[in-house]
Amino acid sequence: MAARDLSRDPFFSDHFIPVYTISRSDLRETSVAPPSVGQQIVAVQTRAESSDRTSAGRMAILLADAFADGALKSALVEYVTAQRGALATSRQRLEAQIAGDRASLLRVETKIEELQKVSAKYPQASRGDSRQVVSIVDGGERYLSPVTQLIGASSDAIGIRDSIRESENKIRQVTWMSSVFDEAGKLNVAALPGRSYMAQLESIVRSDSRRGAEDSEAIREARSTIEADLSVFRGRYAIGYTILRAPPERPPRAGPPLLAHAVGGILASFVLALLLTLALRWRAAPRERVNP
Amino acid sequence: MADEQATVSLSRPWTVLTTHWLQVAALTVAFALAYAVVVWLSATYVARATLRTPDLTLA
Repeated sequence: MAARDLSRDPFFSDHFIPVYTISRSDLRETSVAPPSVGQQIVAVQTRAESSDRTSAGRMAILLADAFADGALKSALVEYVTAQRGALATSRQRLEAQIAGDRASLLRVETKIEELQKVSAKYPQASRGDSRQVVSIVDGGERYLSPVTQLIGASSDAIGIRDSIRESENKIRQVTWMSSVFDEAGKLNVAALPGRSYMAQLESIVRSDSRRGAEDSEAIREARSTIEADLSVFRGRYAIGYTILRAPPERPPRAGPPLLAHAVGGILASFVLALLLTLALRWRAAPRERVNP
Repeated sequence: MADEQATVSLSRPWTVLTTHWLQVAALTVAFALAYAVVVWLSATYVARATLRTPDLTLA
């Protein structure tokens, strides 16, 4: 509701500027010719202008570096945000699954107790021919011997307990990962360059090992997962973004060439000098005529 | 009434140029030098670098 009111605000555009990803439609709005379908941007050219040749070259490199750093930072921010959301949902889902499994386990345990009673009540049933073929479709398993059913139910209970342990393990991982990403979310991202943000993230992931959390296999696995993700970012951005062409040692002058400047300057100066001379002569002419 | 009006004949540009060529040349040199100084002081250099981008695919 508040967002809808805000969008109707006539001063909305004064305060909020949407940021879009690079797409074909975005390029259509610019002077950049949109590439044909299937093509992709493979390189970005930076352009720096300065009154000093060395500064211009350094600025061009610096801009390229800033672009790669910004891409890394953007990817990391997106990764952290997405992970925080996904982990919060995942935790709730796992808790619901554990609750469901515990309810199932309770039912199976009750069934086991009752089957044990049946088995004790009819001991001769266990001595029946175990080679008979019984269909277990539509509750047909009740015609199996109580001992066989007991074994089946106990096996189910083992499966459910394993599922609960697995979910609890995952919850431990999710809790640990959430704490890591929450800590990463508290960092002042705006003040950090991409590489520093990456270093801070790695430090947060590693710092937990110093607190003794590596004892848990689950947490070791979670740490490895995050470290693998971060290594992908490092490979893609810190190594993948490379300078294909560095600026020349002596960057060229901006604007028209020196010859054009020389020719244009001399011609313009001559015309200006001629006009000034004519103006001065013509201004002096009447006076010469009046006072010969 | 006719006495009050005076016809002023202005010399032709070519005549001015031939008679005052030294002044025209001096002014031309002065303007050209001033222009050269302005160009020299306002000179800027452009450097370009090309960065490979592995993941900027177009939507």
